[in-house]
Amino acid sequence: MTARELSAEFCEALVLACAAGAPASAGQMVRDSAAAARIAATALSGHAGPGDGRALLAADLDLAKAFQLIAGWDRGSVTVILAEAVALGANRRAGGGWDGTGPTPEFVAACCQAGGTLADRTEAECMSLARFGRLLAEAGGEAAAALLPALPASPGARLAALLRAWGMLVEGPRA
Amino acid sequence: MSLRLAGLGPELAADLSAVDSLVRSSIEARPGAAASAALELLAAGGKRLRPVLVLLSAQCGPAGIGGGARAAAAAAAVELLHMASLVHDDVVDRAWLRRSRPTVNARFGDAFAVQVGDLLLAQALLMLGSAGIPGGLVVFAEAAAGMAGGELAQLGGMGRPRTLGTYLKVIYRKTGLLTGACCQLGGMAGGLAGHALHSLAKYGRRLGASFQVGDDLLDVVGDAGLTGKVPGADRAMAVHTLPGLSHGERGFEHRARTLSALLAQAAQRALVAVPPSPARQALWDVAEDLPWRTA
Repeated sequence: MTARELSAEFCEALVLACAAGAPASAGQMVRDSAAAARIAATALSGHAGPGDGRALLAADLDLAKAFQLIAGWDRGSVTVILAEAVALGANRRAGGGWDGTGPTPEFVAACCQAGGTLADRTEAECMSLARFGRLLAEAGGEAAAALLPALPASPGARLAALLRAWGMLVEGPRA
Repeated sequence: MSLRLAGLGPELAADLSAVDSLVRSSIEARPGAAASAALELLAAGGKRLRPVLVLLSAQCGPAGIGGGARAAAAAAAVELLHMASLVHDDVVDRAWLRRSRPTVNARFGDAFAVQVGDLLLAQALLMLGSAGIPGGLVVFAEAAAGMAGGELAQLGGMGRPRTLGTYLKVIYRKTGLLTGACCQLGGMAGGLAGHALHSLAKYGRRLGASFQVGDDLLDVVGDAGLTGKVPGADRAMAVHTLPGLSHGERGFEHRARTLSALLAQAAQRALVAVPPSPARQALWDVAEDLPWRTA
């Protein structure tokens, strides 16, 4: 899988992996946020490709539903993180800076940052997770794996396993 | 006849100007081609009905200055969402004129316009998030989903006969839910709760439906010089609005205006549960004028 072919399901898995260590009481919020990331990624992919009016409106509806899923939780910050990524991605696509239909690097980074936020990680830890996501989208699994040792242990291990499971990392993370 | 929005007093005019500044600065925070196109749409004007509903609804409540700041951010958010829907609707409708100017899709193509709409939606969410209204994002996201669902339902009914019941259901969703959310968000920002807040939302939904009947009528009989849009877009897309369906029948315009007036009167009835104030009277007046507007 190339970086430009990252799927919406992969975005969902990224949120879950980066939320490793979140308290059990946050389980439903984590699952809803991950599902929101998947639904939003699918909708944005629909907006990036060729389509008719019905496809555009269906994607609009899905995008709104994604935000509906997370709006009910107290963590408005996840809404802000994903909305920020939608804005940056729209700007990038409008300017011709991303020709793929897959999620933009900003969106992949946001999925990782959101996961960290849900697990109550520090801002620095969330930013390191976001950098990992961005590099993953821009340069692929092998390049992003170089950042794994610097990530908090539990999401780092989950991300390494995720990369292997999705065939994006053959040799395993470098020590 | 135009809505009595311009005559709502200098205070509201100043508040609206502040809302416009918030919308502008939100878009300018994302410099690029998409933002430039969005700024042109903003500069082209518009009725600003939705921000007015937010501001007046907030003034119906007991909150002071803090309520005003929250209401301004909520008003800016709904205007950004409205702009996003206009840009996407113009792609769907293949419209080429909006607010008397070429549409974003006409100038830059559909793919670009879709991204402009997404940018505006995202900025709307961020703006509302900054408003700090507990539960506000839920109301907002529900309205955005309902609006898109209503548009989709309308498109699904293209070319098919429509009854009054199905027509009303579609316009409640595609327009009423957002105008209802405007009043609800404003009321929440202004410190209202319970029955009064519920009633404000009901007023907004009914007012939105009345507004949409008028809009659909203007698509048939409107003057492009006044509406800023090319008439006949619904018919060209085989979208069966009620005024469009009965076009050519004797008295169709009167019937459409009567339906709009009935919905506006129903909106006014909902205001009974809202404490009396100049703002409530202004909301009443907006509903009074709505069925007779020409732009």
